[in-house]
Amino acid sequence: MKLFQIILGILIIGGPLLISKIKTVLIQRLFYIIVTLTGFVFIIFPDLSSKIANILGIGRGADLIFYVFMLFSWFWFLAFSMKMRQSDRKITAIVRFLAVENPLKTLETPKTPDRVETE
Amino acid sequence: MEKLVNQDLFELTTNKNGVWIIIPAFNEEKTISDILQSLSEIGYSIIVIDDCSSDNTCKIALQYPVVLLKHTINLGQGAALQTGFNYIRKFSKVSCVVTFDADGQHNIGDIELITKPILTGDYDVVLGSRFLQKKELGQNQGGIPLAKLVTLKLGVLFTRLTTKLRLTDTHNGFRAFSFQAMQLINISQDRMAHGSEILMQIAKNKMKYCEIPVTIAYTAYAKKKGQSVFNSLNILWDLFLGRDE
Repeated sequence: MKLFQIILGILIIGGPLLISKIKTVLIQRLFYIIVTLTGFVFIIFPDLSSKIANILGIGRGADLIFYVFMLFSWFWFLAFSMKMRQSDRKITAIVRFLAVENPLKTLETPKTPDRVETE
Repeated sequence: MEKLVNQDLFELTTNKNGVWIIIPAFNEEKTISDILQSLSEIGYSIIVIDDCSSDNTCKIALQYPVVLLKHTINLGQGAALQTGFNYIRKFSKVSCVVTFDADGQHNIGDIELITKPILTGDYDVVLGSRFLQKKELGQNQGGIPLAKLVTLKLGVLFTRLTTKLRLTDTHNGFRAFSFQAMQLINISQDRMAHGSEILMQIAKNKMKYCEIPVTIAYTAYAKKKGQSVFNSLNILWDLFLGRDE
């Protein structure tokens, strides 16, 4: 098994755990910025990706970029799903509060005041 | 959990008001009327959570002596159950809380059986099982579609592995909780993964549980309304994403 296969395997399987542990938005954003900047570096220095690919045992630079993109997409999908879930929980809490505090009908008959006092 | 004294026990088993039936309903205009009619005649306290139905479910429920709560947007069965729990928590004279489906699959006559172990103080949670009855009667599991049967059995295996609970039917919506046990249940899975989540919380809180045989009617309507077998993948995904909290 080549080095890159081990690294990719660990990152794909460990991705959910890693994403769930990173609660700080700043770290998540830094991760995305680093990935984007790495993309720019590969564009400016086309041979660099091939050199790194050779070190990792991938062979072609294009393959390295493809694998990194795949990994990035997986991480992004997980982070986005968890973010969505957090938002859903907030919506649920609001809807539940409204439902519990404003029942359309209760078992007790509402007591209406005989007269409404106005100032 | 504290045992009930005899006088209290007598009062609770004879007075159905202490038993609350939670019915989450989403577009159940065809079946909810019969269910509410029968339940209110028996004298149970009923709480219907209309999960933003687009049909006449809400209007029908208003005609019966029930508490009616309405979600302003559709959230799912798990969310509706938790809304019911939150409402009931405001009351003190609650002896037992039963979760009951609105699609007519559950048998109203079974409520008495499922609440009894709670009212006598023997158990904290009683779970309905469709397989237990078949086993006792020596029948095969007729009426259950094969794909559903396989999925349910896999659910039993999944529960055994994740919670170590020894159950015969893990995805049955017919359950009864004592008031104290209900207060420990917090459903965060809005949709169908709540079944597994409840079991995980039963195991986590070391609640005293048992299963009793219940009848599940596989009517054409219930099959149409019921869960697709492929939805079990969605359930696994929801549990997977929700496990960090």
